[in-house]
This record gives sequence, structure tokens and C-alpha cells, in this order.
Amino acid sequence: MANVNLTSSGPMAGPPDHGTSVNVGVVISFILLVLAVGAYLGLSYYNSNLTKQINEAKTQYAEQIKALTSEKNLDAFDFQNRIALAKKLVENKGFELDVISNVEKSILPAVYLKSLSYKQAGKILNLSCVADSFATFVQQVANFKSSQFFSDVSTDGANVNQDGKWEFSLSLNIK
Amino acid sequence: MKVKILIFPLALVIVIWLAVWQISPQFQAMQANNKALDAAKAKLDAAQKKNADANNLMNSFNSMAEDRKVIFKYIPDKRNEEEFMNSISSIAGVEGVAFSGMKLQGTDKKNKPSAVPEGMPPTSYLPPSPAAGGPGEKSELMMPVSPSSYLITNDLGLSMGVVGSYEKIKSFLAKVANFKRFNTLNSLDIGRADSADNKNPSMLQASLSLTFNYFDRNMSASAINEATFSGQPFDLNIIENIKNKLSTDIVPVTVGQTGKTNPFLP
Repeated sequence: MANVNLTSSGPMAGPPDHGTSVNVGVVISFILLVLAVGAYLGLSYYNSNLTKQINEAKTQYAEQIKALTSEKNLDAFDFQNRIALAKKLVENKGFELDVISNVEKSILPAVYLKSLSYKQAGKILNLSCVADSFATFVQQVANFKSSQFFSDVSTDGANVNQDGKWEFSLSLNIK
Repeated sequence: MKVKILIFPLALVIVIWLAVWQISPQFQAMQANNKALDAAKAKLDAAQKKNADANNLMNSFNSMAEDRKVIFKYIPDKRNEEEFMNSISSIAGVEGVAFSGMKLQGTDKKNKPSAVPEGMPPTSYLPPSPAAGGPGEKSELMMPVSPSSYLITNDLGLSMGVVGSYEKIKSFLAKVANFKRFNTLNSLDIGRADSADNKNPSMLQASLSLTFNYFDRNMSASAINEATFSGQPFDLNIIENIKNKLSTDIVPVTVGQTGKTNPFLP
């Protein structure tokens, strides 16, 4: 019977060293654990620090607002607002005097006013006039139309009154 | 040995648990806190800058007592309608036109005037301090307000009639237009005076409708806006304009002797 030797005659590969692998695993586990705990603690500390800073900023902000809205400051802000209001109001002053002045400039010597009515809303001027002739009436209409101050001059015609004069109404818009 | 084998998966589980349920939320919280801190710092910086501007304004404000009087006469903080009517009456007397009546129209009408400077929309406001009746500490610098709540004046209407010659009425109108308290002419009607004893054809009657106003201080305080903190000093040009353009002084009401034992006695 042949002697079958199943035993390797070469160098034998030893059994795997489980102990070393386990140790490496433990070390890696430990390092990961330390890193994770460190990251958690670091972030927690950083967050609490941030929260503290936010609260401080909010407290300071509240103090700033309190100082800003103090009575003495409100006086100055109120004054500032009044100045802002007054600015445009002053610029628009005296417009009605311009209206009267331009009527004086545009009226013909042979025409006189019976009444003048000015409405600021819409800048509308209604005139009731008396002319000594029909020709004067149309000249007056034409003269108002040529004015740079007035626009949309309109009339509904003229009638002779008991004095033989020509009465007419004009509606003028102011540019 | 068996315990050591368990350590690795156990540690891995703990690490995963820490990463998912502890570190990740902390990281997200950190990001949110960073943003919140930036926002809080930005608000604080803005408030500090506004306070610095406010201090500059206060320094100017304290040094201009006379100019303040000019503005407060032009747009007072109270109705002062008796002063306005007294002044108009005085102007009429000086200009030689006769009164045919004067009437205050309606109650105060809140109005947003066209005087709100263009290009200066209300971007934010500060509610008044607790002392002024506002919410105070709850205030936010960047709280938007609608334009209708911005610089709202209380307007009062006054209708009146005067009788006089054309020249005198014109002079009266000029004096009213140059009055040192804001007023605007809504309507003007001039015609011949309709009285039976009016023998003078040059005698005219004028009916005027005027609006004057006042600006409530609490309303003003609630209209604090970005422009208030522009860092610019007060615009003194407008005060010079009022001083130069408007020449008709306000006539204060002087009350003489007071007191009567029988108030019904004529």
C-alpha cells in the first residue's frame, strides 16, 4: 500500500492571529469613539457659546433700542419728520397768487370779470366774464388759449345782457 | 477574547448613534446659531449706528432752539385753531377787508400729505417707547409699514368770507399764503358783493376754503424710518425757506381779564 503522506512537507502557514486583529479593532473603535465624543462635546460647547453670544447681542440690541426710543431722541426724530413734511409744503405755497396774477396778465382791457372760482383739486378755474363785443369775447378766448399757464380753455358761448354787453363763461385748466 | 470581539461592533454602533442622533443635530444647530448670531450682530450694528446718528441729531437739535420754534409754528403738534383763526382775523384787519364769516369744517381728518418726500418710502419704523405708549422692547428696526401710516397729518378745514376791494382781497390772499403756519387754499370764489347797500361796484366778496394742519407727536414718533437715520444732519434749508418766503407772523391769542360772578349776565 502506497504511503500517502498528506502532510505538507513545506513550511506550514500558521493559524490566523485573531488576537492582533481584535486589538487593532479595539484601538480603532476607541479612536472613533473618542473622535465622536470629542466632536459631540466640541460642538455642544461651541453651540452653547454661540447661544451665549446671541443672547448677549440680543440684550445689547434691546438696550440700544431702549436708548434709541428714549424721550429725548423722540424729540429729535419728531423734529426731523416735521422738517420732511415742511419741505414740500413750503414749495407749493402761493400757487393761488400765480393764478390771479396770470388772469390779470391774460385779461383784455375791454373785458371784466363778474366772478372767479378756483378749485385746487383738479386745478380748475372758472371765470364769468363780460366783454364789450362779440369780437372781444372770441379774442379773450384765444388769448387764454395762447397762455403758457392755462390749458384746456373752453367756453359755452356768449349772450348779450340787458346792458348790451356780452356775457360768457370760461373753464380753464391750469398746467 | 469574546468581549474584545464585541467591542468593535459595539463601538461602531455607538459612533453611528452619536453621529446620527447627537453630532448631526448639533452641527445643524451650530449652522443655525451661526446664522442667528450673524443676524443678531447685524441688527446690533444697525442699532448702534442708528444710535450714533441719533446722538448726532440730538446734538444738532439741542443747538437750534430758534429753528425748532420756526418748524413747530409751521407744523404744530396741536390743533391751535384759535391761534390760526386769530391770525387770519388779524391779517384781514390789517389788510382792510371785512369778515363776513368764518367756520371750522368738520373734525380732524387724518391725511397723508403729498409732502412725503419722493424716493423716501417708509422702509421701517420704530414703535414708540413704552413712555410714548408703544410696545417698546418688542420693537423691531426693520418692521415694514404701509405708506398710509407714514407722516400722517391731522388736517382741519376752515371756510371764510371777506369783503373788500380787489386789491385788498389780493393782498389779504398774499398775506395768508405767506402765513408762517402751513395752510393751503382749496378753493377761492370771488364775485361782486351781494348786499342791498352795496353802492360800490368795486366792492367784492371772496369765499375761501383753507386747510391747515398739525402733526401729532406720537404719530410722528411712530413714523421713524430709515431716512431718519440717514446720518445726515437736519435740513436747515427748509427752515431758511420758511424764514425767507413766509413773512406773515402768527398772532398769539392774548386773554385779558377773566372771571364773572354771573356767566349769564351780558
